[in-house]
Amino acid sequence: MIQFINVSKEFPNGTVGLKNIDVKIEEGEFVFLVGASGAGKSTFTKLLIREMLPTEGNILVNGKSINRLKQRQVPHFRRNIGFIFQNYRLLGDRTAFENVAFAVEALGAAKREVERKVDYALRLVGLEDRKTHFPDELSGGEQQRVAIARAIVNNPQIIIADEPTGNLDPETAKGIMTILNDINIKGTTIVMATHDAGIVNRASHRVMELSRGELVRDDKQGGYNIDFI
Amino acid sequence: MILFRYLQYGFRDTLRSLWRHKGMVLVSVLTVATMLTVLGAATLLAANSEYMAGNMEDELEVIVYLNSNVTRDDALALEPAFHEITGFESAVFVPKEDALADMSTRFGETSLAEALGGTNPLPDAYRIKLEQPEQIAPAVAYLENTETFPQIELIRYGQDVVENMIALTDTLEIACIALVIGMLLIALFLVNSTIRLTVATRGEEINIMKYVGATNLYVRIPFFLEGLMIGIIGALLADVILYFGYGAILDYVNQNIGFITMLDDPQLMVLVLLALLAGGTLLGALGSNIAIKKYLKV
Ligand SMILES: Nc1ncnc2c1ncn2[C@@H]1O[C@H](COP(=O)(O)OP(=O)(O)O)[C@@H](O)[C@H]1O
Ligand SMILES: [Mg+2]
Repeated sequence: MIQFINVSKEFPNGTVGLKNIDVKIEEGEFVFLVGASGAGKSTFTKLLIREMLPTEGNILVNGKSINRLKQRQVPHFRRNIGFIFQNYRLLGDRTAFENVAFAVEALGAAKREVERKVDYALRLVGLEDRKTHFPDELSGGEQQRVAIARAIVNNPQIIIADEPTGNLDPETAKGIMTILNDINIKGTTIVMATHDAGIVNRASHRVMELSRGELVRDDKQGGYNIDFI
Repeated sequence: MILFRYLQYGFRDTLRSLWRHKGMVLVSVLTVATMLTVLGAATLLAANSEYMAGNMEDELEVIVYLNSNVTRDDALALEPAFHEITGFESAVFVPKEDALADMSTRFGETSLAEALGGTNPLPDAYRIKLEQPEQIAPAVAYLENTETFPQIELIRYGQDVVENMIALTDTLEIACIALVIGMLLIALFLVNSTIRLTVATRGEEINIMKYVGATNLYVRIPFFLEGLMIGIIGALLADVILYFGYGAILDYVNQNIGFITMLDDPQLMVLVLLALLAGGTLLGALGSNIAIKKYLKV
């Protein structure tokens, strides 16, 4: 499903983001991407949604090289991927419903289809009674759940989350993890960057650990011990 | 089909966004309105200065008073000779009776003729008009030749007026051009900073849209429509201000300042107002385009 072939990313200022990453992620997997701050987790996720291009190597998604996508093909490629950010990144001037609806409308769906899909996604994250709230009227956990609804509303094959629980308290984070696990069980591949050892250890998913841009560990059912860093 | 839905959603998003960003929209509309008003005002001012200069030029003439012993027939026979003057436009014979009558009405006393006891001390005269103010001096030199024109007693023309006139027209023209350029620069600065402000708040919005998989077209439509509407509303506001403002100034000047005649040309007014509307529309469309362009390449 996802394959990094000898991928390196060096930034224009010379900083190395990733070095010789060679991994394969299968359909339906839940992968934790762990490592200290600055290890290269965000670089990994950004390469995966083609926010930037690798300086070396190739990235395949569904067997297709995303390096070769033309600029105008990128939007269509991204529709197959749901992205979740640490800071939610909702449109501040739109309600919860409108934030999720936007992703469906951008595909040119009809109004009734938009409503059906958005209602379904919001129900899935337990926010059916917050539809008309604006982001600043929602708690952090609720905002992140709107963001998850937005990420899953078009039923993508892959969800990429960069520290989705980073701004949340442990209790709220647990709720978010439950939702992500449910989504994964239904068959969606999930790649989640985090440096929260508690979350990683409570689950038993595959763990890929990065350190200074290099892949230093790849356990099928790993934990995340602080002494690994 | 997809384009139709894009437009449908885009239009709804535009109205929603205009409403939810009222403050920013108001600032943008006022900026556009201000710059277009100033531009329109400068244009009208330039048109007026040209018009007034033209008026004053029209009034420039050389008045030639004839000797009192010249007979009426001789006086009338003189006219073709004036056609030889370079830049000659017209020569009107003013018989002394008319001159007296004119003077009487000007003093508001019909009894002036009576007071003079039936005599008329005024001479016959010609009013000669030339095409350009610069042609007055040579014309006067030509008429002053007593051998060619022994019938002429006195020549009157506004030497100072002529020279000042030429200087004034040039100054006005330069001032208007400077004003328009200055205003354009200020306007450009205003629009630029407004766009920057908008982009700063909208850049993140565009990024998010692109993450969700929105095409550039879909992101563009509402921003484009929003810019367009801001431009049109701003232009309409400028049109209203200029139309009523100019009307009010025109009324005031006509009623209170006798020696100035302002241009009252509905056709020109309509032209200026339409040009501003077109300018505002273009400004809005281009402005929004510039504002989002650099954010679309994510
Ligand atoms: N745009 C950039 N320009 C230069 N260096 C960058 C850029 N983005 C990230 N880096 C650097 O690349 C390294 C990896 O960063 P990142 O992937 O954000 O780490 P993480 O998400 O694991 O904290 C860090 O040293 C960071 O400073
Ligand atoms: Mg990061």
